[in-house]
Amino acid sequence: MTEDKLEFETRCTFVRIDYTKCEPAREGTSNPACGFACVKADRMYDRNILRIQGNRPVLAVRKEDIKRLSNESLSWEYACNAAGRGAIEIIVPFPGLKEYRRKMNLPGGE
Amino acid sequence: MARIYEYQAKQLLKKVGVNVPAGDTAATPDEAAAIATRIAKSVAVKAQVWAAGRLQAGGIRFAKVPEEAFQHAQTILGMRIKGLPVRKVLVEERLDIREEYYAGVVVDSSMRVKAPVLIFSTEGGTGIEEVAARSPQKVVKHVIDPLSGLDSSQVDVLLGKLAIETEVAGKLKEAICGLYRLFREYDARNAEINPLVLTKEGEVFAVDCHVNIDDNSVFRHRDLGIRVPRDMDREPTELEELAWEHIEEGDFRGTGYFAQMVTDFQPGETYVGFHGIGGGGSMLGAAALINRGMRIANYADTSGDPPASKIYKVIRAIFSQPISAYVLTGACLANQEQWYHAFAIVKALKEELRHRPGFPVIILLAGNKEAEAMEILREGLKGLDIRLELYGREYIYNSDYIAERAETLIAEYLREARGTVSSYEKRSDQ
Repeated sequence: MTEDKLEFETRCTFVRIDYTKCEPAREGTSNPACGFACVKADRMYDRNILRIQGNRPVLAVRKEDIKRLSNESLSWEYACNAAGRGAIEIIVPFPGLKEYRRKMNLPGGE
Repeated sequence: MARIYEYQAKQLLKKVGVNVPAGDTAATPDEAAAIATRIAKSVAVKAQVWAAGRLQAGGIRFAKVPEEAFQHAQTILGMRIKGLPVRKVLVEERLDIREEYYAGVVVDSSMRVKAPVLIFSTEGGTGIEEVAARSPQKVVKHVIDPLSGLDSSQVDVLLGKLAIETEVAGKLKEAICGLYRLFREYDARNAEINPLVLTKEGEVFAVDCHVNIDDNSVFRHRDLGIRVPRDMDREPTELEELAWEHIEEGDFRGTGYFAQMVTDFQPGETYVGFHGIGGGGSMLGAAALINRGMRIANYADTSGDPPASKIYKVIRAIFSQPISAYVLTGACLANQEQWYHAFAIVKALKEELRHRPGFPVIILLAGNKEAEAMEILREGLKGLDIRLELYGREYIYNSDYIAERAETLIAEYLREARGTVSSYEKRSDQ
């Protein structure tokens, strides 16, 4: 059975690709409307971390090499939002910020 | 340069064998009185703040008995000196002074020198620059070879140029060599004792001192308790500490500088979140906003080609303040591709401004891949209900216009969102 998501970490971010939302992965098409925008963005702005395999974006490098290789361009999420179906989520943790905002009664602290 | 307090510098001096007056720090008047009782002599009660002119501001007072030390501490601990709250006082023995000197080891980074310079003056207690200008014959200097260090014979030669008694010169030499050891061991940028005094009993003591540690070496000196290694005239705020810990510390990929310009946000006041890229463009942008009477909540700089993730976190920090606009002036033409900024801005603003309709966002972004960055911004922020204005390289030197637009958009936003006017408008109406 194929995994329905791909998760990995870069140096400061956590990346999740949800294949149930990813058009080519879901529909098994090699010529999706998004044109594999995430992989194209990766080639243009990041460091060849992703590649296409089995009609879906997968890792082109070993997981343990990502922290060293990725320049954390945030471009995969942008590209999928712009051309695809928002299947990629990049979380950039900032510990303590939410609690700080809550304490200061600022938006985003709730 | 990261600062340490006088009491910390004195602890270091003591470690390297330089005499300092007996004393300790107090956070309450009771503690101050207890220290004065232990010393059992006249004492000086000294505010521990990073500000010059403490004596004139009433931040240094003298007490003959512990009760007096209690009262002085009570007064000083409630003070603000040059805007800085006093949270600790140093209570130390008051010395009978015969002579005052100055001794300092300061890094001279000018092309001509590029080395530490030992400076000594037979007149202390006032600014060394002032003494050097008024009485240059009282000041001697020696450029220290950073590889071989300072030899005590070099100090002998230096002091020999001045009319100092041999016995006193010997004691001064010990203090100067100790000061240099401190400078070296703690990776200081400058270490100064002013005044270095000769007491009536013939002993040499450091009565006041200033030590600044090289920012890049702070990690080697955890014992100093410097939380944010940066040249600041106050303790870091909680937000600055968070930003340092989670953006800058240990991540050397470009700059992710964040400093708050306001530490006591007032209700009803209008603040602008400011984000610059590169020194020159940032300064122009910040100055233009301030010149129009706007208050910038912070100063941020993301230059030196940081990754988008780092830029994103800086923007999150900016939005962790009560701001009414986000202004970016990024006029960095050479060393970074601006599309990384564009990706970070899009992600951060989409997350921050989903529920803040009409929020003013003014972005001046110029440099490599500017056109592509603009396209990413336009496309990425499309559909987000904000007051967005984008400017490119033709506006680099037009900061006043950017500030004018910020003012206009803020006024519109506040009128619409809160049915109120900005504090700038209020002031201009008066």
